[in-house]
Amino acid sequence: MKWGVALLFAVILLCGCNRSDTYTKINKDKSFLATVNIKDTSLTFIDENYQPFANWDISEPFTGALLLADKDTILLYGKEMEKIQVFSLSAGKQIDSWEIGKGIVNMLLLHDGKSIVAVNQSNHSIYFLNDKGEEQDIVKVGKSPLTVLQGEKANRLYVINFGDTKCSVINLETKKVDMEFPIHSSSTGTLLREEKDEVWIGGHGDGDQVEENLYIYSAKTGELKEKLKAPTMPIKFIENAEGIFILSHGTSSLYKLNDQYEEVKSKVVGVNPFEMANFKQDVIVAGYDSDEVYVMDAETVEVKKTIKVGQGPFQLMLRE
Amino acid sequence: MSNKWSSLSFKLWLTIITAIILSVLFAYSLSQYYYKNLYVEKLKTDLVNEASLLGADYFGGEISDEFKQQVEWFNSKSDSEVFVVNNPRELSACLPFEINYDTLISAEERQMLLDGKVVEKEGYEKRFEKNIVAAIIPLIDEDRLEGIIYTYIPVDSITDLLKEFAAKWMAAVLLFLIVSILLTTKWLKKLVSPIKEIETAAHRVSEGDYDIQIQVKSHDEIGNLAHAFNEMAKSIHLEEERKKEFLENVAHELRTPLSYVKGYTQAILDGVVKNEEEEQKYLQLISREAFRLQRLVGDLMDLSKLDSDQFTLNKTPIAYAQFIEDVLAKYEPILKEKQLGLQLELDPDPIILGDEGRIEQILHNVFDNAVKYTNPDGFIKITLRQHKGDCELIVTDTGNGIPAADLPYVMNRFYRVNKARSRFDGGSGLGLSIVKKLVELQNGKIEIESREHTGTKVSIVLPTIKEDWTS
Repeated sequence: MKWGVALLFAVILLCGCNRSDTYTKINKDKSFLATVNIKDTSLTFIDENYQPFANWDISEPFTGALLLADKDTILLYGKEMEKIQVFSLSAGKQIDSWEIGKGIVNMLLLHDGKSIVAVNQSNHSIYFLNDKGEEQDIVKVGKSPLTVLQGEKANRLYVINFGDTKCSVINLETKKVDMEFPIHSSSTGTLLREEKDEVWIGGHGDGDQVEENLYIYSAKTGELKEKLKAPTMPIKFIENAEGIFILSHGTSSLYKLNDQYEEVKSKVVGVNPFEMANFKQDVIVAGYDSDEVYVMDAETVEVKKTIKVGQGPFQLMLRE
Repeated sequence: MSNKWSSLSFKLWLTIITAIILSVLFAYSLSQYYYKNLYVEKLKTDLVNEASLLGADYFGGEISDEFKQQVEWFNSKSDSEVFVVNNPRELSACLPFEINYDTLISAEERQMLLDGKVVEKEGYEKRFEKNIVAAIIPLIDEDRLEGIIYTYIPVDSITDLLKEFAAKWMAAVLLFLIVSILLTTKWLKKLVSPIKEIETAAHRVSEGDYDIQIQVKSHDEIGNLAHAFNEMAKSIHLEEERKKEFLENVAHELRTPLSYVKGYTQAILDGVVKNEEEEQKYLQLISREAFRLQRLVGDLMDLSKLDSDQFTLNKTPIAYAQFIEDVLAKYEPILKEKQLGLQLELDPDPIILGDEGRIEQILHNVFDNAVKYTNPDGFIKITLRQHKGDCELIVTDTGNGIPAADLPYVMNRFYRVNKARSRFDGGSGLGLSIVKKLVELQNGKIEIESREHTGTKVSIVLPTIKEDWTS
């Protein structure tokens, strides 16, 4: 009996220790740029002056992170993780975990700041959660959904099915798929320009065919409007005041287009880059194989600064 | 059947065959080892060198068609397959996206190549549907894996060759095994047959056939064993003969006095005796023969005891000279009676460790013989000498002596020089054999020298106690 009590105590103590793993605390008012490094499962935090100031080495096999509306809580998810781990940046520790099951490959905070979208590849569904992690709705979509985009005006959610040849469009009001339109397989990387009725979709290509183009569909009807050459494997698009930026990981190229879709500038950047984001006035590119983050001048498309981060930066998480 | 499995020949057969099979297996593993370590390793090294030489012509940037053509040209001339790959999908560049595509290189290999390392492969490659030995070198431009040079040699033809070789090899091994088994069996049969002969012979000996002799064909251990067996059979035969002879002798020796006792007793009972004087004479004869019988039985018992292992000697230190003198004192009357001269030369030093009773028995026997076979007016000389570690007692008489032909056998049981005469002397024919046995039991030795009509010399050597024991 004594042994049992001692063992229980030890287990509680150990669990306690595990939960109370603490990381560098991050002040609530500090702007940062963080990389999700999937090779060594860590988070590298970089400040406004592009100085790394914290590294969270997490033992979970997470592949993505989502900052919630309170600008302090982050969710860590991964396809192989049973639970979504909830961390507080200011506390520098895990505060909760949401039991959702394996298969989560992407998450998105909707513009209302309360609803969270979780993309589940294990059952090819989109989960709608509230900010407590409670499931509100589950919507079945195409095979292996990956990228999600919220169309604020139309109150729609565009779901790009990576393993399928269709894009599922969910009505956020009814939480039903109210439209599907054909796209190419292994599609990823999207940009929604609602005012222009455009959904930009990139991809890796099919089989041994390398994707050289990106496709512009009608956001309303799903009709293919235009095809733009962006060799090779365009997988990330962003837009800012300077123009539209296209990142192609096959050739590690960054293209800058003007409003007429004309290539204004191009630049080879990083090694096998997958991720790009707007941060302040700059464009940030993460090189997956070089374990580096590149700060690019949005106008000249020149690398202003190179920052070493953890291994395999795959996603960028920003707080401004 | 179970007998066959536990036989020596089967065990030997099994050992030899096992050894042969193990050797064959070892040889096969060794050939495999050499194939792997020498041939495959050499292939890998050659492929790496080849790819590295081609890779030296890449100077960065996007991989040009010209470079690809160069490699293609080389490929057309080379034994190995060489090609350049710059498709990022083949190079696992999209891997975090879990693309459902079987890439040419794995994530681990990509990481190795990114680190500038050469990848070596060996085994079945799904892409080419064959067994290959391959080397992959990276083409890197500013840390970017722009492409790879993949070079491989299909080893299926070699594997086929090896298989063919293995088939022929197996056939040869089978043939070799069959021949080995046949030869081994035949050879073992030949080797073991003398053992079987010995076994049969041993059975025959146990059944009483001692005449058997095995033909010794070889000069090895088995030949030696057969030889030793023959010796053993011969000695058993001899022993048996001796036993028979001994029993005959005992019966003979017992019969003579018994027939005297029986004859004279019957004569008295039948009233054949004429007068009291004659009766007295008969009774004396009966008494003499009874005494002879008693002595004979006593000697036989002694011999029997001496032959058995239970015979123990109660050894004590004996001052030998004094002891001899004490024994001789008893002979004074008879010496006087026979008018025999006695000369003593006794060294007082020797001290022996012996059984008093048995030493006395030895001395009595020897002195009795000397007195008995020395004619009146004869002479007996007794000498005791101390040697290093032992002492020698010599009893010399001027008696009849022993014929040279009989001398070697005088110490045999029941052996008599003159059978008719000695029977009347009252001897059993066992005295000297008892003496010999007793002397030997006390770690001594006895020798008899004699010349007919001149005299006899008996020498008894016994070990003495060391000086420090006496001091």
